[in-house]
Amino acid sequence: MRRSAGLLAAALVTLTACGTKAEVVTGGENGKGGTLTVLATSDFSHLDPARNWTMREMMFGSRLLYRTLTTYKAGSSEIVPDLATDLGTSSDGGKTWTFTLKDGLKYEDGTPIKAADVKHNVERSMAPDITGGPDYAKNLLVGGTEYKGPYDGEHLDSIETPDDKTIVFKLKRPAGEFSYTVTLPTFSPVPEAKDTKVEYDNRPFSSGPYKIEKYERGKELVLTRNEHWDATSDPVRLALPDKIHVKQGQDGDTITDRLIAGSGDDANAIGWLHVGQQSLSKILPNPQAKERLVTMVTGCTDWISFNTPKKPFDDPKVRQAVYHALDKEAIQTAFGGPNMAEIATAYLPPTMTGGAKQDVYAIPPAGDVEKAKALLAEAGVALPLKVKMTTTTTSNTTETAIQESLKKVGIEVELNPVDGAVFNDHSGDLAKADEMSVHGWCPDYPNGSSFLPPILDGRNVMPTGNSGNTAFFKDGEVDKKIDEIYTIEDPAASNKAWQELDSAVMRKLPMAPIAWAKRSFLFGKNVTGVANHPVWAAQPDYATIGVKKSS
Amino acid sequence: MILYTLRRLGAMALILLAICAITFSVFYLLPDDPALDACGKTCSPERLADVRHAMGLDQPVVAQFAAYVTGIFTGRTLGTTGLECAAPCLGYSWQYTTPVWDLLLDRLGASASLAAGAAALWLVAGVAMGVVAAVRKGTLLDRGIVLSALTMTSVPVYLIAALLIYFVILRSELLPYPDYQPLLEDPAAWAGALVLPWITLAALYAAMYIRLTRASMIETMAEPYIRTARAKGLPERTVVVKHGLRSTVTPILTIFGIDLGGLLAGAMITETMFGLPGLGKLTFDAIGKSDQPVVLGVTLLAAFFITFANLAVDLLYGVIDPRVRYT
Amino acid sequence: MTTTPIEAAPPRSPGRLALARLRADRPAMAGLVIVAVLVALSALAPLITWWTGWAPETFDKSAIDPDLGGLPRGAWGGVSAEHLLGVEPVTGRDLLARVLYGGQVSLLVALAATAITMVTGLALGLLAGYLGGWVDTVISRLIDLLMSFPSLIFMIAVLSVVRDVNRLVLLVTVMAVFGWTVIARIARGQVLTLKHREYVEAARVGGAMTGHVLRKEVLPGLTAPILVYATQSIPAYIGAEAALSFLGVGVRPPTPSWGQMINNARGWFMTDPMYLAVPCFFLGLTVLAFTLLGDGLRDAFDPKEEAS
Repeated sequence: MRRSAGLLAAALVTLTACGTKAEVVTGGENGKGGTLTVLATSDFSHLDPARNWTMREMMFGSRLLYRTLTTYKAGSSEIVPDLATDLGTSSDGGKTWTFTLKDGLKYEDGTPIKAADVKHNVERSMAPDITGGPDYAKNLLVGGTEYKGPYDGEHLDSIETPDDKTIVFKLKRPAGEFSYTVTLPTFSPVPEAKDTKVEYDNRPFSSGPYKIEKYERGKELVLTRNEHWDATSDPVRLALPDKIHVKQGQDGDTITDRLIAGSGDDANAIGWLHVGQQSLSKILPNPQAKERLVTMVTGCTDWISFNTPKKPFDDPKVRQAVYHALDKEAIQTAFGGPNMAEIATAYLPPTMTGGAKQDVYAIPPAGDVEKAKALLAEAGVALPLKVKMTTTTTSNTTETAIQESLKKVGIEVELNPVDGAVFNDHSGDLAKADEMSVHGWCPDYPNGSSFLPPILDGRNVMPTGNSGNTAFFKDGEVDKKIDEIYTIEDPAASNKAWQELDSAVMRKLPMAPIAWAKRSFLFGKNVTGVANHPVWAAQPDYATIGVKKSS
Repeated sequence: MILYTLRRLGAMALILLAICAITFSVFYLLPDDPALDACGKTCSPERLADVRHAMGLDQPVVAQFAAYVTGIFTGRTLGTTGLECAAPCLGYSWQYTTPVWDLLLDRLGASASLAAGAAALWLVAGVAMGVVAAVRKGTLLDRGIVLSALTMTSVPVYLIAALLIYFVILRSELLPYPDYQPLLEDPAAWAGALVLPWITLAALYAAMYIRLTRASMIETMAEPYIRTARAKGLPERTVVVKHGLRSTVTPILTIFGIDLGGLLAGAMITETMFGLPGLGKLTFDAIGKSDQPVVLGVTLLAAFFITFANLAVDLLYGVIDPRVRYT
Repeated sequence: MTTTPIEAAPPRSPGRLALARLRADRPAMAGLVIVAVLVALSALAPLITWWTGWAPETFDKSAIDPDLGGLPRGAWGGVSAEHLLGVEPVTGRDLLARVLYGGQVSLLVALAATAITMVTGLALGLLAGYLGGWVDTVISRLIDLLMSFPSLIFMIAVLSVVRDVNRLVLLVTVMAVFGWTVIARIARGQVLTLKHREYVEAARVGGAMTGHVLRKEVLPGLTAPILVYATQSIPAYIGAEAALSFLGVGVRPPTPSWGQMINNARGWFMTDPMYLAVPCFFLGLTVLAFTLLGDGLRDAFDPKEEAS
């Protein structure tokens, strides 16, 4: 079991580094062949690249079934060219982006991949029947908002394909981050001849290392090698197993128990979903199971949204008082303890800042009650201060923990439980929203443009249906800064600018960050190369996973 | 008798139509907007309107219902891209991008296997033990049977399932983890995957049938005609089976028909716990994902089974208990 | 449960006799005592939690180990002088408080649903069976319709439609709407069978009043199946509430119920068996007690028993 020591070290690396530095462990025996079993509770929401917009499914699709213009390095948030020869070149101040496809790229039937096929998939993602996919293309491309898809013969003029190798995107605004945007499955090729429209979801045509042999939705998916995929053109995907068998419809707790036991074929299996907190108490005290667990923060941030147009939280001092009063340790416990969440001190999660955790206030984790009381006095608030917090009828342990910690400074929080189905309607309605509610955001790619503008841009605030800017925060300075950062073309420089904006807004505090959730995944003893991916919500990166020959 | 059957079939059709209408309107009132669910994480009002139109949700509810019922007989074309849904079209699952009818057919096998095996097990075990307990009333055997029936009824089904999985599969590895395959493709895997679910379901129902049979049997055995039969010098076995059991069967059969009909789509927890790809599991997933066409389809199919089972039971009454007259 | 002969019956009536027989039935009396104790404990839950100092919704951060996914500290799921039955993992909430408050909910739902079901089912079943004609047609068609519904699926749909209503009232209503049909059908079936038996025909020919025939001839024949069904109904409703909680539409947190507690505890049963054992014990005991009581009642009401 020498290999296991290495894996344990890898688990520790991912636990402590929790960022882009996570290393991929490829053991000595890590070779090609074998069948990887994936144990899942239910079906994928979508595998059609035009409809795929959930983190783990985006990982699965773009690592195994289709290639995108650019993609992430294994286990890293750094981008590399995939179908394209480079990360794209921009002109017109960042409003026009050109990509050139590599030579010799082929689909599963050996036919060549053409630039027009990428255009076709972007177009079909805007058809009314092809629902659920990312809307970045629709919002960024000139004419995208009005376009209704290619199926009635109309085409989108803002995507040009002058030849089979070149694709040009014309955007509405400068987008320095566009090299990241084209990592999304929207920017993968779908040949028109193979497009089965809505039913493409049941059988995507492969441009990646595997093709679908069998897909019975909700029951199983079997992937076998795509012989026409060329490893030399692909910088990321190792494509180690000969076969990948996803078994769907298994009970979640049972999956964990099977993986802990890891007997028989389960030694070649990996869990599709992260393990629940009740399972951690089984895994952590069990050394032979613990070494088969990988953990990482998700890249999502949870926070308390203050209703900023409304009293008493129109006053930043009162918001800061609440933030100082919070017992974030108690909140962390409500999330499931240090193994399930980190205490958040900024909006941008560490996965987006190269691991750095910005902390403008440096408050002790259990809160600073004296400072909170002083701030309340400064703001001239009469105590006890009574406020309401929206919560759902199904889960409110986090809210209860917040309620308990604010009691200490004389703020009485009344929980207002609403049905889960209407929580977003209620808390996103300017007229109906309570003073506080707990929300979160996960970025679609590791660039501040996918995180801060959706939650902070005051121009997005609508009378109803706000799902990003749930604090209804309007600040002209912030909006102006967002527009400035959009034009920065150098990714490193723009990320730095987004971090500065993060700190600036933290001082105004429209939302109070509370937690960065973590996820842990369990796998069998023959499975190799498992490392969480920081972009796809800590999901293990299937680009590098292999199966050791059972001994 | 034939006229009676025809009339019942007519009533069955009416009942199914009523259930269809009630269920359809309930789903129409659900707080979840299926278009909003389908639309994605962010959804502009314009895009939502397009999606609603593509899914046919912008039509008045009566028109939607009419289209649904017509589709069952003639099939229909859905969406804006000419999606075909052949008759009998019970709607289209946007979640699985498959016609609901195909999904139902696909999942029926596992549910039918589960229900048939479990029903056979509990009916035989339940009635036999119930009769034995009644005949041997007051003895140690009776008390033992009554006590185990009591224990079994008090354990929730998912607890039985969890304990079986833990002890039989994970701990002692007597059985591999269930990997359901259709009977005709791989009989060994089929049976292997179903043994524990059969036991789980049968334990639950057997306990109920033991108590029911015992109570009913004790009452029957005290009837004057049983005394008469005994007085005539008939062997005790004949008295119990031919005279006693016969009138006890009527109430049991009523319950059995209902249970069996309901079980085809109702073994939601058992199927979920054992990962069986049946109708109950399909429904469980569909409810979680607001896939309303699937829930509607399963409701209708299940209602069909239940009404059909009721009819069959009523017709069987005549065979078993000649005192029942069809009017 | 619905026939309350103790109040209705004149001296030396069958009811009085039944009561005497029940008193002599030791298992039934044990059941009665347990039921009384459980009801009393649930009713006194606020007093008991005031005495222990732990309300059912108060977190206890110190009672759990955050590094082990929130497993209770100490043996037996955190049993201590502070928490007599241990604590819930993750939150550290007091299990004694939760199981007592949960008992209130589970018992209330089951008893209310059973009572409504029995009264409605018996009344409508008897009417349909005895009066016949159009009354029978209407009631029978209604029964057919309701019995043809896959009730679990439909209940889930209804429970997720209706919002901003008291969950418990809704739960009882939904379960009762589907529950009464079984008893009505049994009642109707028994009446139909009895109707053709000689002694009822004889009573009719003798010009006896409808009410009299019902009470004297039909009801006693129904006592046994109805009591057995009622005793099965109470635990069945507790189970139904649990199943609906399992599927996410039952009693909602933070309000505890036994079913919900068992569901939550399922994933913990290897590492914190106490969390599962506590609600299971209470549930099992309740089921056992009600069943013993029901069996005793049946024996007590059924004079034919003695003949065999």
